[in-house]
Amino acid sequence: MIPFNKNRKSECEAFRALLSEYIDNTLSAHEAWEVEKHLTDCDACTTEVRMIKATVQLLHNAPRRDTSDTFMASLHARLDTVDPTIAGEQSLLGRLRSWFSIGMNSFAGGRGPALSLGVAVCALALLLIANRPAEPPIVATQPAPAVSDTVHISIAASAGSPFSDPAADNLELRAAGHSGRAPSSL
Amino acid sequence: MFALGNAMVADTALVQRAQANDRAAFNEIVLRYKSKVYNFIHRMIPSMQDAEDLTQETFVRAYLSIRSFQSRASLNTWLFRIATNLCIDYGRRTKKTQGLVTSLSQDAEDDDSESQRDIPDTDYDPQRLLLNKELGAQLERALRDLPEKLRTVVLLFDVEGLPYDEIAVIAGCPLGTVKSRLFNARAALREKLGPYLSGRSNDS
Repeated sequence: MIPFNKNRKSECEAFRALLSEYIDNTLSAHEAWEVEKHLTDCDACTTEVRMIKATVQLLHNAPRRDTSDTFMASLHARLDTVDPTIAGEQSLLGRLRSWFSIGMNSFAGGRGPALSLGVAVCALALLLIANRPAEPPIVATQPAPAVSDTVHISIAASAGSPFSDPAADNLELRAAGHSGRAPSSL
Repeated sequence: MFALGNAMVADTALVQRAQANDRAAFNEIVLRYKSKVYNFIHRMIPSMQDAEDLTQETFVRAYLSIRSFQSRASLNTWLFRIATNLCIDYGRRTKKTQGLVTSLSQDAEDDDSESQRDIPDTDYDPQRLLLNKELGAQLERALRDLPEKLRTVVLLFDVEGLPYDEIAVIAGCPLGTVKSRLFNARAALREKLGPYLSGRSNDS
């Protein structure tokens, strides 16, 4: 048997992660061979395998119970009060909800409700943006500069100096001559 | 499979008949799966009475939505998925009110009522039977102490014998997560049952 040391410990930790699958025979042939090779000279992991096998055996043999004698009678009494044909014909909204719920559950693994809420908030935000008026009201007392004015000023400024930044020039022009105007949108 | 007359009727045939409002076929489905579903649920939640109610609820929901069942998963997987979701909802509800921690009185009540928990053993040995009874009680306690996600996987795999891929569908998680949860669940159980298992593991 190989004496226990630090390297040995980390090797055992790596193999122990595989022992559960080794017991279930779900490892690849190569992995199973590696585990068996390790077990031949590691008493600690061999004991671990025995313990996990005993645990699994215990679970396999766990006593089974059956429902009470009145189970079927009370179930049928409940089934008499419901109608699968009505329940089967869900509304379109109900179907969409259930599809959405199934999809979110399968992708999020239990985080569906939180993601659903997030998506719903995003959808609401998009809806609000889409329903905004095409031309928002201008709050300023003076009219906003026409787009064509701004373009002309930019072109004029850039024509004077082809290497200058029209946007910066435009800002300077605004600062000089158009400072009292309100933004065109809020 | 459940025998219907002399013929062994497949799940798919029963489902098709149940989808056509054949109540007798649905009855066969209940008889075939009620024990499996109940055994799973009663280990998932602490109350025996609630476990039976949730088992009924599982079949009521299955009855109501059997028409939408498309056989992409097996009937077994579908029923366990309904049951798992009901257990999760139950856990959330009870957590809000009283918590899911099993009380000592509940343990004592179950221990008293459960001679069925004995591990089957053909040899009559009073000392061994006593040990088995104690071991069975410890197992149930250790299972209840597991986090819900680990408990779901270990019950479905080691008690109900479902394959990894079906458990992944039921638990709504990737295959790798199922394997790691199973590993963690077994490690936790082995840790709790260690003192009881050491004698048994030498026997095997």
